[in-house]
Amino acid sequence: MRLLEFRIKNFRSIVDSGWNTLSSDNITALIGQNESGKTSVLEGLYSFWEGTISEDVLRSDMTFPEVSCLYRPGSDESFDFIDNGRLPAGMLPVMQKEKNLVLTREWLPDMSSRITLSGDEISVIFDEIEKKELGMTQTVMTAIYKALEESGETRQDVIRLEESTAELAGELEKITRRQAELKKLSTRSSDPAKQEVLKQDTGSVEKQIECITGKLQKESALLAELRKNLNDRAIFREHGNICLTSVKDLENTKPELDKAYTELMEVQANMAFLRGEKETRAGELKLFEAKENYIRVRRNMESLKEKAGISTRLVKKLLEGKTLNEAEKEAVDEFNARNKLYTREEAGEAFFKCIPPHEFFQDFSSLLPNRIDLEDIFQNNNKVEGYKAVKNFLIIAGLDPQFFRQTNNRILKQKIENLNNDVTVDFQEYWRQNIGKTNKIRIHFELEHYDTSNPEKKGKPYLEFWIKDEHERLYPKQRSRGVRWFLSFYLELKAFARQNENAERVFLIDEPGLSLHARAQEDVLKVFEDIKGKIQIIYTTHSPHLIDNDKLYRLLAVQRGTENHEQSETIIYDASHLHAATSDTLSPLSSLLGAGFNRQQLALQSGNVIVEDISSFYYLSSLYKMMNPGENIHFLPANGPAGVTTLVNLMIGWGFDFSVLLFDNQDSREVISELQLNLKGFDPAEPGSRLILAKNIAAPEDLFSTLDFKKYIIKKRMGIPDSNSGFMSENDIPRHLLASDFARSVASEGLSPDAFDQETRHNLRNIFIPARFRISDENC
Amino acid sequence: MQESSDSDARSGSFMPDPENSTEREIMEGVRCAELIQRALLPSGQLLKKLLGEYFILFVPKQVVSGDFYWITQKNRKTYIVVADCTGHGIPGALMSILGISFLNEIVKTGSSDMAGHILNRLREKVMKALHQTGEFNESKDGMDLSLCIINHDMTNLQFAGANNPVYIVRDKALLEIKADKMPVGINALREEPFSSRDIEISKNDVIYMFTDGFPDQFGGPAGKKFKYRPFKKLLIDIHQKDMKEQHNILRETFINWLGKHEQVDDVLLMGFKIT
Repeated sequence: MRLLEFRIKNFRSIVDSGWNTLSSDNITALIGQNESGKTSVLEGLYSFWEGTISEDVLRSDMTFPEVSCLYRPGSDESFDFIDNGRLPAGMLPVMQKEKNLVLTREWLPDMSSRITLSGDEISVIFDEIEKKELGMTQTVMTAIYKALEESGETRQDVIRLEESTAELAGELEKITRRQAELKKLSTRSSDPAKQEVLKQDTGSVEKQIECITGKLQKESALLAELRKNLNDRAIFREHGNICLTSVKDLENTKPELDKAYTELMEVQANMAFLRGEKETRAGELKLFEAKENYIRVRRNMESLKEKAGISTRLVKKLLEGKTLNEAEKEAVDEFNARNKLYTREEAGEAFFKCIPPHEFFQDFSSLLPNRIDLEDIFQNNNKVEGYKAVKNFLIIAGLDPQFFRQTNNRILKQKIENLNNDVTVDFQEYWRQNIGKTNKIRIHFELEHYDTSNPEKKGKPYLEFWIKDEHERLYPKQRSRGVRWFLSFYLELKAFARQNENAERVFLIDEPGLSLHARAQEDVLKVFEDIKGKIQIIYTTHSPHLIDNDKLYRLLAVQRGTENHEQSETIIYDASHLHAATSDTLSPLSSLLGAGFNRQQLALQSGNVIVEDISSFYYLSSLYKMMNPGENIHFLPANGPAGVTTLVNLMIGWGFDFSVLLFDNQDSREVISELQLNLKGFDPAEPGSRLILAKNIAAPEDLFSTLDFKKYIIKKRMGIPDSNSGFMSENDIPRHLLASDFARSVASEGLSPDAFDQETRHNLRNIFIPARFRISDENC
Repeated sequence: MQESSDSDARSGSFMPDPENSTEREIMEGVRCAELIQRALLPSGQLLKKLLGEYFILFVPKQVVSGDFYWITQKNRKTYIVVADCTGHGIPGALMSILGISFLNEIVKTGSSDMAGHILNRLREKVMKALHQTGEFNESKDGMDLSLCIINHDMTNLQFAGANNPVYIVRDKALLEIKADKMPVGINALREEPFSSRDIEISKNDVIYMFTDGFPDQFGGPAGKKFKYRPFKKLLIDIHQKDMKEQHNILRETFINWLGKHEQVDDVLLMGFKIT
């Protein structure tokens, strides 16, 4: 997994660095003035790995840092530790398609941090999941409110019906009594007329009884139905109310969390104004309490989230017509399934496990001691002076400390002698400085035993170290600071690389080799080159000797947005945009490539066009002038296709804007691949590309029709059935002589485009499209 | 539709004595050359497929000819050439073989489909093959030819010519597309690029491509050249007839004009109708 790009926000002087691409060959150098923010970049990347920051890195506006890293998994990389079943649907294909992985670490007010799987398309998937969850909650809530409202109405209806049926029952009882009375009177009376009246009354009462009974039956049935309905919905109402409460509780916690956040921020901000130990102690206590409170509220919120999640799903299941038992089971299952899916944070944590560790080397202070007791090594006594350096030394030598338990003195001496040679040879590979003309230093160690002069340790073994040259044998401490630093640096990095062979790492190294001679600084670069296989190195430097002038694509220039204003934000320019950086920022490059060269007339601030050789230069410069008079374009010839990248480096280094014009041949294709690998903006198909490719034209001579070629270049009449350039090479015709003759004749004869035939003019028009050259007003 | 190599029209200027073994051997060699040349010319089947209604009046002066015709199709365009190489007989035939193979190479492998560019490239090849550099005493051999490129839906004809024009006859009117006045080969002074001309064509147009053998033939009652004006009139008169009939009329006209005169040069005339 390689770190390809990074983006840092709100970290010390960096507000938003934007995405910055690291060098494809694993060595990236950050250049810039003091206080520009170079070290902040390293710290930001290290904090991304470590997860911790100090309050010092916070900006005054109290925005919290955020660091994103974009990684590309290797083709052989397997994410066995990722549970694919936990990845949200569609995420795996997106990741396979993008072949990139973006992880973002953001810090929270309590200075804790969370790492998330981010990236545009990935975020869309997570957003969708959250949207779906929110949608489900809203649907359930609406259904609950509706059900509660309906239940209220039903309850009113029940009451009304209960009253009505009671009334009807009373009425029925009354009329039934009246019916009995009428029956009794009818039995007693013999008067036919009275009998007739009573009969009529009885008929009327019977009718009333029939009517009321019917009404009562109907209302009783309705009442029973409504009661049943209410009873049936009782479970839904009960769980609906639980759901409402849990969602409401969750909602209520949000302001509580915001409040805790604000309080924490305020306390944190006030810390800067505290005076005296007492105030500081009180402040720290307050800060601790505020942090604790914030953590408590956050935890509470997580628990409420779970409660609300399950109860919402339960109500949803009830709505779908499930029984309570079914609904309870399914809600828990569904919540667990949903909960099982990686959240942004969980996915971030999972993928974080597979990124290469970031190691920050701020100093190389563990110097090789003059001597160290073997006992201290056996007991891993890392407090003893030089312990780490000695351990590194033994790792590089490939020696297990247990070897010294060997009792055979001859074997021990022989092995040590061999190792002394091996380590010295390896060290000399990197340290090229001589003392005098040929005198090279050698690293030497010996196994000795204390004698009687040290009675306490008498007979105990110790290792003694020397740095020898032809004339003298000195202890490490007797050597110069530079030698000691380099040796320490060499031991540290080589040992680390040896110990973690085939393991990927990102080394962040702050200003290596400050105390070294220029030659030794170049040796530092050699060590980088040696270990860069699986290790990506990002280092800061002010030194031109720590920059390879053939590989300026490795540079990132760091400067403040407003020159000479230390409070302004940090801006980072990649190699393609170094021309936008200030001359102070680029001062190591000026030293490397020649200070002030950019003020010479060799090239312009813009409108420079690198061409592959002197012949191309003659043809193109004269033809361009002929086609576009009045425009001042500087064609810069490289000494062959391989030299194009060197010129590109120079242009970058001098901070010039430029383009590269290449013809369509195998050599150029190789150059293009190299440029595209290391720098942005060299895709000829993209607008604003720095690369102008003369498609299907293999060489400048092929810009001419055969007739014009014969007429103006070779000035001979002969059959040239194949390409002009093919004719030149077939007949061994010196190209640059003809090219310079042509350039001269264009100038002296004042040739115009009309002098050439249609085919030539067509070719020239196709290649000399002014918009493709990086011209500014100064070129016109 | 109709192709003819009218041996009976030949003047018979090369008539070896069959009893002489050397001459017999030469004659056998020439017959062999004729076979090779015929094999290089496009077949009637191909011509029919690419042109539809067409005729070719091909009357070599000798057994082998310096005139040739060539046709191919690439990228849905049909390329047709009628050419007249310097000389006739064996030298002309050798030149024609060179021409055919160069045309094949240029059209099939070249990137440009502009008629003028093809002739430019052909000229370069001829100049290189014949080592022509414009020196005073070197060979000035080459070829005159006309090249037509017809697009797929037969609505456009692109023409480039080296001394030889092309005629388009439409409703009894003849349109002459003039050629550049230079051969495919070294030119006396300096080379200029061949030009390409685009002409819109329509259904029933008849295109005539030819060498100078017919109009330059001496004959008739006064033993004069046939000339271009009568040649054009003849084509206007017959262009609406079917191709076989046109071929017969032209053949009869030529034989009648030739009479007892010697055939001066190879005769090649191709006619085809836009359908």
